[in-house]
Amino acid sequence: MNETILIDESGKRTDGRSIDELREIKLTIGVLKKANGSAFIEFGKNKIIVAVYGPREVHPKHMAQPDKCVLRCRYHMSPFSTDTRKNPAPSRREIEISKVIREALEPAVVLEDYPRAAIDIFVEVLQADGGSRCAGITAASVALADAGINMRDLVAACAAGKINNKIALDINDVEDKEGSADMPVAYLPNLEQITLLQLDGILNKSQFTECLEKALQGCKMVYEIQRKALMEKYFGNDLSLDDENTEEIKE
Amino acid sequence: MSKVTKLKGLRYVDDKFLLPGDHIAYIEEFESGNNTYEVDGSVRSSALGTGNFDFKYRRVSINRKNVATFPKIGDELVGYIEMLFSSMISIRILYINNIKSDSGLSAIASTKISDSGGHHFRRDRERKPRFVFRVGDIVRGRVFSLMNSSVHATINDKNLGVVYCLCNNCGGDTVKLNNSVKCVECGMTEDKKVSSDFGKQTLNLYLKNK
Amino acid sequence: MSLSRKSPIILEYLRKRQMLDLLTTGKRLDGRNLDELRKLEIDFDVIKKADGSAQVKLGNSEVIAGIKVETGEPFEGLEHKGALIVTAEVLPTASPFIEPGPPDEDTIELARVVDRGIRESEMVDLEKLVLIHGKIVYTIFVDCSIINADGNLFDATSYAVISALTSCKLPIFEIQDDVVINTGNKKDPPITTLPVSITAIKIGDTILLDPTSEEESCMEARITITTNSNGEYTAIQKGSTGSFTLDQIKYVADIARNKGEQIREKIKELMKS
Repeated sequence: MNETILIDESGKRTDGRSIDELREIKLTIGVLKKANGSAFIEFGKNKIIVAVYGPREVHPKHMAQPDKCVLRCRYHMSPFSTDTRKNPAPSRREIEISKVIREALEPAVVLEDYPRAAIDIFVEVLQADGGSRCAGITAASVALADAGINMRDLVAACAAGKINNKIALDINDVEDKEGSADMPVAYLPNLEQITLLQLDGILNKSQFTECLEKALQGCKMVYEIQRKALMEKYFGNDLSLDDENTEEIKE
Repeated sequence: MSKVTKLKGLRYVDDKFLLPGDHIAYIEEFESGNNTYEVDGSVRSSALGTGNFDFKYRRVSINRKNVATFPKIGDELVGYIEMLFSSMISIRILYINNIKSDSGLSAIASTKISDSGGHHFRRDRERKPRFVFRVGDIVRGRVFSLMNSSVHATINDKNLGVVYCLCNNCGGDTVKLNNSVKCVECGMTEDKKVSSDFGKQTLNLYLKNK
Repeated sequence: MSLSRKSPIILEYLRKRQMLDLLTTGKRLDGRNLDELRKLEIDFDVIKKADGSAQVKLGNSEVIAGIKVETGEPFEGLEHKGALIVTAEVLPTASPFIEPGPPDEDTIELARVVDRGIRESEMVDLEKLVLIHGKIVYTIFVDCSIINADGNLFDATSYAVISALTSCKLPIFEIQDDVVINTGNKKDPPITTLPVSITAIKIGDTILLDPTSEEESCMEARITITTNSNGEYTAIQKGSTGSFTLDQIKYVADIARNKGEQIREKIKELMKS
């Protein structure tokens, strides 16, 4: 078998990570002035900007729901985001990903609070590096919180996969192409619900369980980053105070 | 320093920072108040803010840090009239509680103005004005109902009603005269349900408030 | 899709009058002088996957330009030249009034005006980018994503394109046995000049440089003038429904040279650091 070597003898992957390690994540909130909520995420080499507009009126009007709000999502890749130039017109892949992102986020949003309105989520991939849908969901849920929209929980997303017959966390671009399985998962960390699950590749029963559990671990790590970013943005000045409080509770 | 309250061995901190989904209390301890919801026996936050425990009514709510501009009961709206019906006007919302809203949502308001709306008509001696509304008039209203998912506003109060309008005849500037507005250019007068602070200055305040 | 939605008549009217009152005193809503440009920030090479890229912030307007170099057939009638294609998309993240979908006329005008400024000034010596005459040439795609729209997208996009082009590295292609091979080496692009555009708008009888979106919503006419490194005019586009007098055009043409030179120095300076 001439499979590309993605994990060396010391357990290091092509980008120097161990199999349980996430890529470096940087999450910035409120980057766009005109949007109601926005976030910029650097997830490894992924660079994704997310804007949330709404709740606002629905166009065309007949799409409005009398009892709840309509959530709309557009996932789009800039022409320069990939190795070969991408045609700016939306591809079938982008349309599918728009749909799964929307469906991953919908359970977290209290849609009933905004009847006859729409919330628009625009996910723009400026640079793609594998796992862009997970990074997009992670940033979008933070942007929704930034917009002040009522939510049941945040949504954290992360992928796990199989490379060189080992289950590894957070598959990057090379591993996605050369590895044998990729499983993106989105998770409501407080309510413990899975809202996105996809798999392409072959996993046996035990690998499947291991892979899913590893992905959920990854989601929890991503959630901590989301939490930290939101806390810093909104309570930055008082954070030290909160630490004292938490300690007092723990006593 | 934040307030720490000890109660039957449990501690609740009023100013604890909470994100959507965070567990606040169990339903046996507290009822769910504003910006919280209940799931599987626990009260959780649905907003980003600080917790607020009401020990008298055993209710917990969230003082939110940020909120999407969406009309709620009690909110003050400013918008322009986009459509006229026989006894109703449809207002395109531009400001909610003085904060600009690009939402493009509309509210409806009745044009039947009662005597209690801050106006004192001497019925016998003075004719009761027939208020005129025109498309484009800037109106302030207060939300009193969200029935059937539409925003119902009232303009029946002293500080509510038309905030500013241009002359229907010549497009000139207008000033308030009791229950009517007069054009400073051509002198045409129209009976309008005007707000107590009618005038261009009020609107300029809104324009600055982006 | 439109960049500025028509606001209700009264508000539009009042906002315009408010702006005119202020303009007679020589000040603008954001406190700038009439001929003062907003702060220009440029980050180079922000997209590592592209052959060249730049992120430009002009006030609150924010544009990312990315360059992809491929090989392809030349344009008809231009067999001796490489192909240069500039596209622009105003992303729906940029403002609440933009709907996703194919570009509308304003966006197409934007891309074409920026493209014309680059092409007509012969900024890139396209004749050096031919592999087989009439058959295979370099194709340079410059794609611009406008992520935040706050007026003067013409200049912001133009600065992003020239910054990305001057800082990009072209992959070296070679023909071996009639097959194009990417050698993996890179070279500097053949840049001859730095075309800089300056946009002015007219509100009442006042000429403003570098308008914000609020000012653009009140404008009567707009003019974009591009000058090259020698101070020659290379492209002009007058837009919107109003009109200019001869004196006003002369004034803008003059100022476009001066301000253009300042911007050119600024871009060079930013590129060095």
